[in-house]
Amino acid sequence: MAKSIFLVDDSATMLMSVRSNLEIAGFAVETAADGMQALAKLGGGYKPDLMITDINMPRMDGLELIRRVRALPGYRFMPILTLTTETQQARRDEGRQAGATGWLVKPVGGGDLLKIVRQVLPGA
Amino acid sequence: MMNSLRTLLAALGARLRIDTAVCAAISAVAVLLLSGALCWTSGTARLPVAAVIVLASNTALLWCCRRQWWRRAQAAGELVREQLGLEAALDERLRDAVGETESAALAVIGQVRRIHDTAAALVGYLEHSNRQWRGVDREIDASAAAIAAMSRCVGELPERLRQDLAAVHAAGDEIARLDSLVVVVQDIGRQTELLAINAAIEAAHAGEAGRGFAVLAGEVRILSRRSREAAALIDAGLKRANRTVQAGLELRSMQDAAVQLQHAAAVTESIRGVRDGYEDMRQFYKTLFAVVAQHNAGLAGDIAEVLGQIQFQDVVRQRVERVGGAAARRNALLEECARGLTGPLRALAAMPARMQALAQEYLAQEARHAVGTEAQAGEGARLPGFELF
Repeated sequence: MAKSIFLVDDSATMLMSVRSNLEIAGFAVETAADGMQALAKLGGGYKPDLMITDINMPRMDGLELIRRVRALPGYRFMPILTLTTETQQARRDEGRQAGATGWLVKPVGGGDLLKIVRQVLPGA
Repeated sequence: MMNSLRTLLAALGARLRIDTAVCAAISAVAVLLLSGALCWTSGTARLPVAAVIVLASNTALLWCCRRQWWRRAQAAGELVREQLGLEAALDERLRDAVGETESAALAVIGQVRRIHDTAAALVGYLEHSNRQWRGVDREIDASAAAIAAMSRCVGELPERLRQDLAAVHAAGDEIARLDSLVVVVQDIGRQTELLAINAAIEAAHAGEAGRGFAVLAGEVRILSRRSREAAALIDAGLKRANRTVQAGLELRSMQDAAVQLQHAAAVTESIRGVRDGYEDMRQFYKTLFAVVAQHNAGLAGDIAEVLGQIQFQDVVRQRVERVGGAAARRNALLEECARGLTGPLRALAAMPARMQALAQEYLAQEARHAVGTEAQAGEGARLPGFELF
């Protein structure tokens, strides 16, 4: 069965390009346009194998989303990657403290993204 | 925008120089009036007249300067507001442009996805064909084995023909030998009959005593006749067999065998050709499949990279949004500045420092994000693009 990946970003371009890349590689992908929408989907029973989220989003940003997801039962060890244009160490530290598994800087090459996803999803 | 402000300030500076000239003209007129009044009035009236003239000229100067300054401040404020209106229009166009790049990026992604789907369909078709081909391949292998066995059989045919020919020759020789034995049997039959006739004559001479012997001689005669008849039948059969063998020998002559050998060799060669052609076709098909599969893998890699590069649209969008945010804050400051032109000087004097702080804030915010080139990059460029915590 294909591993499922939850993609959260307010950019339609990002959602469609990353989604296409992952789906072509055989992953099942669900998307959300911001943190609130993402929480609603997770609350509705959707349980992905991996979540990739942007940081700067309207309504609820990525760091807050990560904090809230980690507080949900059953999501303590789910891998969460951030995918953002932000590069500074201070922000990475904030991401780590919020509970992110890894930090990805946009734009990330399609091949590199697949390697990273397979690295955090063994057996994918 | 900054260039426009510089132009505005230059214009204000020019107008200030004009105001100075106007003030100088008013002062000159006031001095002339004062001189005339002092010359034409009596001693007691001079002082009040001079005071009135000086007061009137100063009032006129003040009124003129204030009016000029007010108009210029208003004009500058209007100009700034016009600039802000232009800024808003430019910002709207910029947002439209970002929206258009997003639409174009989405269209590109859709087209790339269709290219991938087409390539995947081709590979799926080839894989399906390959599975079917493996079934056909097994059948062809079985057929090829049968053909190879047939080919060996045909190859051995001339040797078998030679062996058959030798066997027929041997059979002919045996029949010829049997023919001479038949002659011997016939001679024995004739002599036995003569012997039986003589025995019957002698038995007749013996009278009653030779009656039993006469019966025996009769039986021997019958046997000898039967043996001659049998020998004649065997002789006829051997002659027929001999004719058949001779006919066979005529049919399977060495010349026929040579022709058949050539035919057999041609058939074997044709079978080998068919097999070689089949092997070539199989190899070609395997190579074709491998090449298409390799190209498809390369295409998938390229598609993944294209999809990665399209993310630059979002990077650029975010930069434009940050520029737009900074421009909005700057425009608010300029609006305040425009209002301040007709207000207290203290508020206007603080504007340059606030504008500088705004610029530094924007640069600091920009430094936190990834940039297009390493030359522009700050701390972020030294950190890895991917980090696992």
